[in-house]
Amino acid sequence: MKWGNLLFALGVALAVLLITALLLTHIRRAGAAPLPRTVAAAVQPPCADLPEIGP
Amino acid sequence: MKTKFLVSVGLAGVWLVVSLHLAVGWVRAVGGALPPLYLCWVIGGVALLPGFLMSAMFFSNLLHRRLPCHPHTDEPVTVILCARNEEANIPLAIRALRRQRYAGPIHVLAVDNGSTDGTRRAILAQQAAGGPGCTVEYVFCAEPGKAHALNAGLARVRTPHFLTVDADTRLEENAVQRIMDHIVAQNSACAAGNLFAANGRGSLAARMQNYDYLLSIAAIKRFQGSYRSTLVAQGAFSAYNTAEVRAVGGWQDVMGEDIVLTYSLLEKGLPSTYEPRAVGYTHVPETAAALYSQRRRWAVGMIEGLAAVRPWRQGTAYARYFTSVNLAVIWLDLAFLFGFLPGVLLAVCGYFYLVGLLTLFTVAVCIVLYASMYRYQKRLGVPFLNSLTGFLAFLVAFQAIQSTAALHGYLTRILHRKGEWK
Repeated sequence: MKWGNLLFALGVALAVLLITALLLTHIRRAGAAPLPRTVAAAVQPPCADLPEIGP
Repeated sequence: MKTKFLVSVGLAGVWLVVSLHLAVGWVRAVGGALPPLYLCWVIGGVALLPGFLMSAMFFSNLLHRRLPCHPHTDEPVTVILCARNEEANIPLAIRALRRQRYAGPIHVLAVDNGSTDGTRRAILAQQAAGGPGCTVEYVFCAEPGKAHALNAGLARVRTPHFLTVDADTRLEENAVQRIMDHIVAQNSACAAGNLFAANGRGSLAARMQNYDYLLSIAAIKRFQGSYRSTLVAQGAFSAYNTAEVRAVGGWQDVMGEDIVLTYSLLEKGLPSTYEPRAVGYTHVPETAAALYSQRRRWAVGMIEGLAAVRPWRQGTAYARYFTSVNLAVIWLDLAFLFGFLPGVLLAVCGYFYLVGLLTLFTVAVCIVLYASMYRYQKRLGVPFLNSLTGFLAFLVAFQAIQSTAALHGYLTRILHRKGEWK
């Protein structure tokens, strides 16, 4: 793998972890109770994301 | 065409209204636990907009199940086959062209783009082998770059229509007949063929892409092609009207030269269509790293296309709609990476604010959509390879790789060539 690609992918992974940590901090500060599992994602799409353009 | 489009978008609008109603409940349930702006951005990017776009595609494809019959043509056709260091692949590609069951003569322009291996020898061997109805001509292009090689081929085309085929793509034996029947009958400026993974039984990365080609890419092309606005007539296998391609100046020397060419044709209000019965098998990247590089290039190509022809400058309302959707895909990629993935991690920690048990239900709905596309492809009678692990990897990992590579590509193009966006 090219170094630039690898570093970028690692950067994205770190950003995902950082955002998760920030959200967890926010949730705990807000003192919110965990939601029932069935509430979230009720309106999630048939697929998580739209497929990209073709070749 | 217009009625079917309005019905599809209308039904997707109903889906969106129902989703919005549920989303309000979702936001209320989460309350102040998550930043409200972030929550709305994520819900819009992972739920509302993708739900709308995918349901529009699903309903439209349901309404366009029947394929029109086209009369057979025997018009002479040229095939431009560009190669750079493809000594192993090019004999297979030319052999597949020589075995075509086409009613007319085929002339192959094998353009050697400065190869340093045995590509020239391989082409000349195929030229000597000959074959009924198919001649091969060796063309040398010293200037590196696929666009230069394609333009060198275009300068030698003497037929009203021509095809482009990649050196690592093998056409099914009726492919040329079917795509030529299509482009002549539909009077399209360009027509994309239906590509499958040639190495769909290879590595896990290749098996995963097998389903991307089979279910996702084909579904999008079918949707866009139903309205004569296929956004990418891919260089790997497409047919073109020679005069129209010359009129827009051929290919530009960019990363997504096929995308920019298609956008330029669409800008003139010309039809760009899709023929699912014209099948080719292309070699897909075998490793996650190669897949990442390829998808990054595609993302750069998409931005190049949008920069070359802004969505509002497209020639038809359909092309304007589809190119605007392409612009919205940037939001979807960001929301998937920085909304959906953190949502999965939060769920692992016990906080089901963004992803919950009902996500499993959405996976089931997703499988229904894929099953409908799978059935459609199966009905075409095209042999393709199946792999359970490949399908599972496609469901679980593919989008993360694709969205990361796409984001990388968007940034590469936007940051390096910012001035062109002004």
